[in-house]
Order: sequence, then structure tokens, then C-alpha cells
Amino acid sequence: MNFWVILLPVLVGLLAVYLLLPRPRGYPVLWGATAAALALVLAGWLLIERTGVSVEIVLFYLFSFIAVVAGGLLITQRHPARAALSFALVVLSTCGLFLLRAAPFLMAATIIIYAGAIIVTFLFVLMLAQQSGFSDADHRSREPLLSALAGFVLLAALLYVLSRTYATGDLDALIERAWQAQGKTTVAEIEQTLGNNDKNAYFNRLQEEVRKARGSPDRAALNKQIEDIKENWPDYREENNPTRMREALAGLVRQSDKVLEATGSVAVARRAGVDYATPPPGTTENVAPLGQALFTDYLLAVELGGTLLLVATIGAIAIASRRLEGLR
Amino acid sequence: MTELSGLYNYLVVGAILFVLGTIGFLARRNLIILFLSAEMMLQGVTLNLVAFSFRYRNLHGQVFTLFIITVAACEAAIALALILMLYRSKRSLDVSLWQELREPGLEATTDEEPLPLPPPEEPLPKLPPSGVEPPHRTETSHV
Repeated sequence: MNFWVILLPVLVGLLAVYLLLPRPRGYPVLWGATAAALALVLAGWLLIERTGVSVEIVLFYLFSFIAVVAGGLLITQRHPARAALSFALVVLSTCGLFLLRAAPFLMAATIIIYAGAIIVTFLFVLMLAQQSGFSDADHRSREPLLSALAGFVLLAALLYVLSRTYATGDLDALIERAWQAQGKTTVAEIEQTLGNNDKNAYFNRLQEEVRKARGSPDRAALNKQIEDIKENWPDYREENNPTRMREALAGLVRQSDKVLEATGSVAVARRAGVDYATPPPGTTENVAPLGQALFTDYLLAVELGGTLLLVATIGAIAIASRRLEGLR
Repeated sequence: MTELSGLYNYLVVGAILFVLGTIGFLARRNLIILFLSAEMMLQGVTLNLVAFSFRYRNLHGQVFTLFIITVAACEAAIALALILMLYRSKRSLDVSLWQELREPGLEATTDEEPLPLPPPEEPLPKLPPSGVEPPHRTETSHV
């Protein structure tokens, strides 16, 4: 059932974070660590959609695993300097994910700014303020149960909405079958590719998946089209008419691609002839088009960003500088 | 044919990072860790934006991410200045020391559970003196 796919990793993750949050007399680290490992395995197995083993999915798993583990370490570490270093690890793995999504300039900029400047500044302030390392407050957390519960309820809600709108792996696979069945010549082959039987198993399954996918307003039209095809399909089978079958399937694929368009399905783009592995036309690099976009479309925002940086610098100096006692 | 991952996987990771940052922000008491959790929330958001930018094959998401990084840097500068001011007042980075700023109807949270005592230091071992024992002058009285 759909909701266990989301609930199981969320519940185990809630247990893990609750056990790991710092307390004066804390639970043994091993319990929290095993719960966290179990939650990660469940999430990686149940939540993530994968179509096969490829370099990209292996790297995705690696980077996201490191990001989530470092994020968990950040919020549960007692020593604040170690938490800052965990944040550096989060930034590095998020940059790896940026690189997988064709954003090399953002990867470099994020590493330089976050890991190079922001974290170093944090460590300076930390070493200034807490030279002994630990302070009493680091061993305690405020309301561990309520905060973990609030966070994981939010996570469950987010994952539910995301899976309803964007997790169309099953629907994709079914439409893929329809698309491949268009290339077959005889009725028997078409039915075999679809995995259909006398009782319209394929179309029933398709309707079920379309009902679950809520991301698009074209869903009703698609439903109606499937109904029509279901009515006429036994006639096509009796007439032994593959051409009508292929036409019906072509119409089905077109309509469902409209529905899947909103969900970011890569297969839709592939069927339309778009190849994600090659850059968009007119661009072979990332930096030059980014610069062009920044200084033509977003010029006002760039100027305002520069002003913001200036004001923030002046403000930081004004707030933090130690004035002479008499002038305060 | 193996394809690139779709949008959903990256959105899930972004959501997880965001929620972990939220929990860290709500649960921890050190001002620095509080702020680092806020920055982790921003990392989740930027991951979302870059995933959408890849899916629509344009650069709008990446440009927005650049502005988010800019604003995060400004925010870090001002936040650290404020943290320094707070530290100078109370000589501590604990956010629970500022509870007089809470809402009027709430009670202050107090630390009830005592911290465990540090383990007793091991006494230094007693070593025999090395070398020849020097001659002791026996006491003679010259009364």
C-alpha cells in the first residue's frame, strides 16, 4: 500500500532522531545508529524510484546517503565544531547532487561560498566563544520528542504530496509498454507487449495508476480515453485489427504524455525526442549562458543583490564592533 | 535502456534535508548549531530548485539558487555579528539564557536533569624515587 512506503522510513527515522538527540544521560548511541541505518535502507529501497543500475543512480545514492547521514550528525552532535564539519560534508554532497543535475558552476560557487567562507566564519566565532569545546547546553536538547515529531510529521506530509504528484514510476512503466506495443505488427504481439488478457488487465491497471496520480488537470480526459479504448478493445481483438489498436495506443500515449509532462518524467522527454544527456540547444557550457541570463534577464536582481551584500557588510561591522565605553 | 533519474528522487532528498534542518533548529540550544540547521534548510531548498531547473532545461532555477546563496551569505554575516553581541552579554552561546524574551503566558523551561558527573580523575601513580638515596643528616642537638 502506498502509505506504508512513506510511513515506514518516516517512523524509523523519527525513532532514530529521537534516540540520537543529545540528553544528559543519553540512550546508547548504538540504538540510535541502528535505527538510523534501518531508516536509510528503507528509504533508499522504498522511496527512491530507480529504473535500473546506472552510473547516475549509483552516484545519486552515494551523494544523498552522505548528505542525509551528515545532516543527521549535524543535528545530533554534542560538540559544535564537529557539527560545523558535518555541515561541510552536507554542502559537499549537495554539490555532488548539483553536478549530477548539470550545474557545475553552482557546485563550485556553493563549495567556495559555503564550505570556504561561511563555515570558516562560524568556526572562528565558535572558537572565540567556546574555547573549552563543550558547554553544558550542548548536552541538552529542547523538547526532543515534540521537535522530532513535528519535523517528521512535516516530512511525512511532504513525502505524501511529492509521491502523489511526482512519483509516476509505475505509470511510466505502463505507458512505456503502450509505446513499445505501437511498434508491433500482430494483435497477439501487441497484447503480449501490453501484458493484457481477456479481462483488460492492462487497462484496469492503467486506470488505477491514473487515479492515483494527482498532478495534472488532464487526468480526467485521460481516464475517459482509457474507458473508450476499453470498450472498443474486444472489437479490435475480434476483428484482428492491429492498425486500430496501434492508433488507439498512439492516442493513449499522447494524452498520457500530457499528464506526465507536469511530473518531470524523463521518459516523456525521451519519447518526444529530447535527450537529457545532451545540453539544451545553443548551449554547450553552463557558465556563459548563466552569465548572460544574470546580466540580461536578472540585471535588477543582481544589482539589488550587490546592494544587499554591501548593506550586510556595513551592518555586520556596525553591530559587532566594540565601541569605546563612553560613546555607547 | 537506463535513464537519468527523474525529478522525484531529488525532491525527496531536498525534503529530507529541509526537515532535518527544521528539527535541528527546534531542538538544539547552541546558537551556532541553530544557525547551521537553518543553513541546511537552505541547502534542501537549493537542491529542489536545481532539480526543477534540470527538468525544464533552462537556467531559471540555477539563477535563483545563486541569489539564495548571496542572501545566505549576508544572513550569515549579520547572524554571526548578532551572536557575538549576545555572547558578550551573557558569556555563553546558550539560547535558553534569553528566556525573558518568551511569550507572556509561557513558563520558562528549566534544566531539571543534572548532568552526569565527570569521571573521577585517575590518581597519578606513585613511582619509587630514582637514583641513590642521599645521606640524611641525623639530627644532633647542640643545646
